[in-house]
Amino acid sequence: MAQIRHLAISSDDTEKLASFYKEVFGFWQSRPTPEGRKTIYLTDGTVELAILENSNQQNSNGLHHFGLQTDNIDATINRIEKAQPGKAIGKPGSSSSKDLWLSDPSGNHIYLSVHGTLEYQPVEKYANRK
Amino acid sequence: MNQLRHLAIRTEEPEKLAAFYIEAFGFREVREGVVPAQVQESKSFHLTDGYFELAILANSPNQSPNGLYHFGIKVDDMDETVRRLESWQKRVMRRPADTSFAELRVSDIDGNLMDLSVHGFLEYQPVKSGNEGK
Repeated sequence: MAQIRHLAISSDDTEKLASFYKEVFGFWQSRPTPEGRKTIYLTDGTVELAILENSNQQNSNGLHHFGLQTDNIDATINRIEKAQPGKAIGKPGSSSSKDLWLSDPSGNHIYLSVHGTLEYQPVEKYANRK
Repeated sequence: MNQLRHLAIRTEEPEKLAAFYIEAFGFREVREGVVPAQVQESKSFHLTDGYFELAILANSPNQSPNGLYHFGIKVDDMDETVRRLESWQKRVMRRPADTSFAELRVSDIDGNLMDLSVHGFLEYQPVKSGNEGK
């Protein structure tokens, strides 16, 4: 069983959009913004909402992808291959990169990972930050 | 606490896409309650991982783009949420009180569509098999 634990939105004003979700819904920052980037990672404590930097206008603004967390990525890959016979999907590059990108049959972009997007950077550490 | 609990995708082949999520990721169909698109020519599917709802919405007439459509937030206090929204937005319109959809459809300041609901996205359509896998 895989679980939806991540949504990502592209925006050309990530600070303003993140402020909206913090102030209206009480979401908080789940992990620090990588140095030199503008992407902001928020959470409600269970699901992560990533506000992706799109300042160069290289993508459409809006819903970009969602993320699934799985306990067993190899078994999940096998199931995906059975569900989409003949369609090649990316596989994890090494034991330290237990994640991959794929598209569903309609072309929606999915980020699949074992570690998830919150667990490897505990939410509690950032729970009181605004 | 307000919670992200819903994501909706539009497609012209809802059965095929729902089968993918059931087979590849073990999602289950929410079998009970009102499925808003039952009256449509093509059926929409409401799936869940036990916590989060994934709605596969029929887009057979191709009246809208296929793809990621909106997401949903279960809110604790709608009046307080609307009050906060109104400090950012000029106008917030509520749906009728007896709607089987989320009570409120709004967009964020970038135009991303959101459904807001106090009753939630699974609670009014109980998952028959509980939390066990498919």
